[in-house]
Amino acid sequence: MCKDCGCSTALGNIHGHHHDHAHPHPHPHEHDHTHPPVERKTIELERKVLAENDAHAEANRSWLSRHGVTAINLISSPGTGKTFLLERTLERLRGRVSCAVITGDQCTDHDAKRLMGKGAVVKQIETINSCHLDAARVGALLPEVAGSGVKLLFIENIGNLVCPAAFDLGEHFKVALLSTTEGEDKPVKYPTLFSMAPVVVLTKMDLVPYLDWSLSKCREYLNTIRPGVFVFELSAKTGAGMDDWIAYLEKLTKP
Amino acid sequence: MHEMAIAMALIEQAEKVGQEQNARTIAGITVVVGRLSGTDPDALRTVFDLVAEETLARGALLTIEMAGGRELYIRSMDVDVEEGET
Repeated sequence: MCKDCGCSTALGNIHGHHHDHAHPHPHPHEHDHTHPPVERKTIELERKVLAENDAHAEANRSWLSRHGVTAINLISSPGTGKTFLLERTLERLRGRVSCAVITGDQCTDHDAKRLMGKGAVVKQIETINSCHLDAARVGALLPEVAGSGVKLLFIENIGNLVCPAAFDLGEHFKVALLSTTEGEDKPVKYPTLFSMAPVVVLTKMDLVPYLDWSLSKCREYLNTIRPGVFVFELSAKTGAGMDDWIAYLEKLTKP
Repeated sequence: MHEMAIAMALIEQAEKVGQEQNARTIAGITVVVGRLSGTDPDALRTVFDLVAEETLARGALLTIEMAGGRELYIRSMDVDVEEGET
């Protein structure tokens, strides 16, 4: 807004001169101003704020379905073990299910490097300053990553329990990961994500003997936020519980 | 904090509507924010003015109505149009 007379610069050039200079206005403002009469009106919109992201997400979903790809969006805190679980998962699915991974981090391609060489197409997204992946960014990579016969696409989101939950990427569903070292009550502390994820993977189960962590309490919290949620308990390190997870993923890719 | 992205999407949509309506300015925007939408109303307020700079919504009043679920939508907006434009 123009500091002197309050006219909006968005109105353009109503004084008959440009506004890119310092504004001296040597004249007083008691005169009639030439602003045309303005009337205020209210427009009812009822439109989603993230409508554009949602449209990209729908386009992604239909692209994936047309190409016979099942896509899951893996979300957790940093350090829950998303990448490690994916490493072990890709090794076990190699030669059985054609997989691809889009992995997001704020910086570095460390995760992509860890996941390469295991038979899957891997693509890193560095978001730099953003705390989440969005549907447009994922969509731009789909033909390259999941175009040639891929059946299962893992989207490894930025480690963050809050922001990624707000952005639909066009995945078929979200999988939330929760490690035993994070405590039992993350589901009730971060209900947005856990209410949206029909599948939860409890990771680092091998550490339970060393922690004051209660499986029954954790399951109770999970069921409070999302009754009937499907829960896997596993340790990617020891391999315990991995068979069920792998069998489940294989089943997802069967028509 | 993804409220910056939310604010940008919000203003982008509002500006588009404002242009369609030949609005001279966008005076106010009312947004419904659900408790499970993952959006923090205070953070949204903080970045809103910043994002609105250099747009039709510069100086616009942001009204946030809280809701209980995953709502995140623009309920309405107030625009100033020249008389005779409608």
